[in-house]
Amino acid sequence: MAWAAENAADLPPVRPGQTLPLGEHVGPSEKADLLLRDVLGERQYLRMKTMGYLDLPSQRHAGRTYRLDVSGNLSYRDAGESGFNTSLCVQPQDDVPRDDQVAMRYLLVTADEERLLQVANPITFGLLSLVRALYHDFSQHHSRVASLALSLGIVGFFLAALVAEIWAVTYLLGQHPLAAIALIVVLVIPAFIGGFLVAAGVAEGLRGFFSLLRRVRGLAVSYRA
Amino acid sequence: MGTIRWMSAEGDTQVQWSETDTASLDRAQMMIDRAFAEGRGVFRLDSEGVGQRLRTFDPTAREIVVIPQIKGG
Repeated sequence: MAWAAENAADLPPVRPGQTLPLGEHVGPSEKADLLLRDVLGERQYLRMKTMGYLDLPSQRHAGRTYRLDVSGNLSYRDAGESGFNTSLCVQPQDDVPRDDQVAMRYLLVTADEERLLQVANPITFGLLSLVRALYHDFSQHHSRVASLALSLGIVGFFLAALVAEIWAVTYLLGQHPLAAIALIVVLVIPAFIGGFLVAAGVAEGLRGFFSLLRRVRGLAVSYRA
Repeated sequence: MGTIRWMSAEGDTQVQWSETDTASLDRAQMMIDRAFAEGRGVFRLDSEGVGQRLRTFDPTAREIVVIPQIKGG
């Protein structure tokens, strides 16, 4: 054992490989694989290696299922949703092997979901989700009000650019061609992003609609049963 | 006998303690205190695939996993 209890007051920083019962020849990825096996348990470990993922029920949100894949990607599906549309981005502050990241996310989902949801950035292809992701990023460094204002301001700018571009093409081009062309050129990139945001909003709306439809049908079936 | 498994870039660092050995118990206690002070997540592994978040050191644990601090991606 590298640490002496009598020198505990001068506890040194934990250094990689300080105590290695497995032997120095075991590399980081092999050690991470062994730890992952311990954390998941034999049955789930084999399932993850053969299926490529684990589906884990939420402890806090009824009907929510998390999917953790062998590469460490984490996403979830809420009740009524057909796919795992929301990715949860959570990273370790320190560099650790990939399998340690998988084990870390597994522990967060199964034993510390509250903290996971506080820290992780949820990402979905949808307008509200993008606003939420922006807000989440800004809120790491700014107040809630400032974060909300910045998030809405950015999204609003791109949507306004799209509206201005459409206006320049459909109206201004006929009246003042030079001004219209200048405006179209200046706003082409922000307008494109605005178009992307509108598409994200439509996708989110459709997803919500079909999700609601599935829930209503599910309720109807269970009522008849 | 319990084992702390502290995740790091080189794979996990393992430190063991015994409930009957005060010195090893103190070492483990300090290591876990350090983990809490650094904002790391500390989990006790119970049975197969079942973990529990710890808020204080549990000398009866079989295995404790210390994960890095986390941040949103």
